[in-house]
Amino acid sequence: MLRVTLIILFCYVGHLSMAQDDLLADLMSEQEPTENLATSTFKGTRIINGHSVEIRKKGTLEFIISHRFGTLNSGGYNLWGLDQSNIRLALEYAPTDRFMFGAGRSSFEKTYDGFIKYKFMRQQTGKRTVPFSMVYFTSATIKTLKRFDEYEASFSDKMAITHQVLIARKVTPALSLQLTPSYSFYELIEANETSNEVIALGLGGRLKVTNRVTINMEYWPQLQDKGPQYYNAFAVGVDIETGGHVFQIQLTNATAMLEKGFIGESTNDFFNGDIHLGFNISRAFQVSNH
Amino acid sequence: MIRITLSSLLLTISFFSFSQRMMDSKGYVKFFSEAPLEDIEAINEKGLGVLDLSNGNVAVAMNMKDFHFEKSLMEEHFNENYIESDKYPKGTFSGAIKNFDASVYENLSDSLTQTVSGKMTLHGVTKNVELPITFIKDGDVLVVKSEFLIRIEEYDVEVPTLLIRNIAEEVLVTTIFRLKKS
Repeated sequence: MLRVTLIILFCYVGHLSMAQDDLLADLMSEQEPTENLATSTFKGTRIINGHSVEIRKKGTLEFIISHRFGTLNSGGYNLWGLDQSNIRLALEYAPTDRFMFGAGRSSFEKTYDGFIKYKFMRQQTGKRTVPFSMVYFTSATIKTLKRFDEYEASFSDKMAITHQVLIARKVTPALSLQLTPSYSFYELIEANETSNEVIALGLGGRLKVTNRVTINMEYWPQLQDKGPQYYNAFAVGVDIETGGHVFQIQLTNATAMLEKGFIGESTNDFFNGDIHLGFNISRAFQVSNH
Repeated sequence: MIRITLSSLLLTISFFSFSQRMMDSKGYVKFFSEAPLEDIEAINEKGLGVLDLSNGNVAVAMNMKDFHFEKSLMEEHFNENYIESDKYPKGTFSGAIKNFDASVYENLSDSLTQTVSGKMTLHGVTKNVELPITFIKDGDVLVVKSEFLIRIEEYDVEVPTLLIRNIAEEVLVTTIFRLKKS
């Protein structure tokens, strides 16, 4: 009995002397687990050439200017590629936090493109644990460059469609990795091509150097290519974020900035010096409340 | 039998001390800063606050990711670049009301301003602070308001020189908790 009384007394004393920190600890234990979403897996909606799992927040309109200069090994006469350039202008909008769409126009092969992107799984901890974010992505392109031969291409002949599933994990606050199975279908294949389907597995990642600077890398090995003249796209780049802008500067062997182009139709060999300097600049505008 | 008595006694004790606590789990916390280029305002409506009437201790906790901004990109940068919510998910305060006298709060007719001193933790940095707090009685509810300035450099929040015109060095924080007996 004495022992019980002692225990009770101890408990009581313990309660009386409860420090302020215990009150805080009690308070924190009261807090219901919340949905803690992994945010900013990547800084931009692109890792470099390919899309990232990032969807802009609801109501954000983004204007993106992307550039790829000519190849560095084209010599001093061409100012190491700077004389040449391929540009894509695009407007991309997110009506919800999980869905976005966009349209653009590239000077390379005078191509128009449109895409939609939906995040159906969000990496999170807390109430539920989900280890990855997953995004379904599809794009359609129309090449409007006039042909140099007699063939009269129909509207559908000019099209190519790509489907991708983007699977990414923010492994640590600094490191994010992405795997992107990709399928492209080309309506028309040229005489020197053997397949109108390209299957590839994109590998991408980013490493945060400081809060505002990351180093990104991307490689797109093709499991089935259009023909032996096409190389796998490789890119390495830096993201720099300043306020409402993200600057991405990169070195890549891809000329095109559209999935069907850089994955399946890159004719340059990165390791042979056929490297394009390029950049993406994005400016975000909040056009409706989020 | 002894065991049952013991546990019921313990329960009574903890219940007793619990009933002295007043809580709010939907506290309002706003911060506002005025910089040459843009004003920044964010609101958190999920602040947790508690006041222990038995000793005048106060505790506040909130998730940094529950702060919402008008511009979503600002919110992203706040979490990612400034407050680093992944590393430091919570902001907290724990302290005590100075010269605390519980009886005052029972029969509060007018507003009462007190000083609370304690530790504020933000961005992983803990500082001793003294804050003014005002109590107003609203039926069963004890409304607690506080307004104070935070110098962000004191909490090691870095602002790149390029953005110094966008981000103010001092941030005005307003908190309103509506405490109820639990």
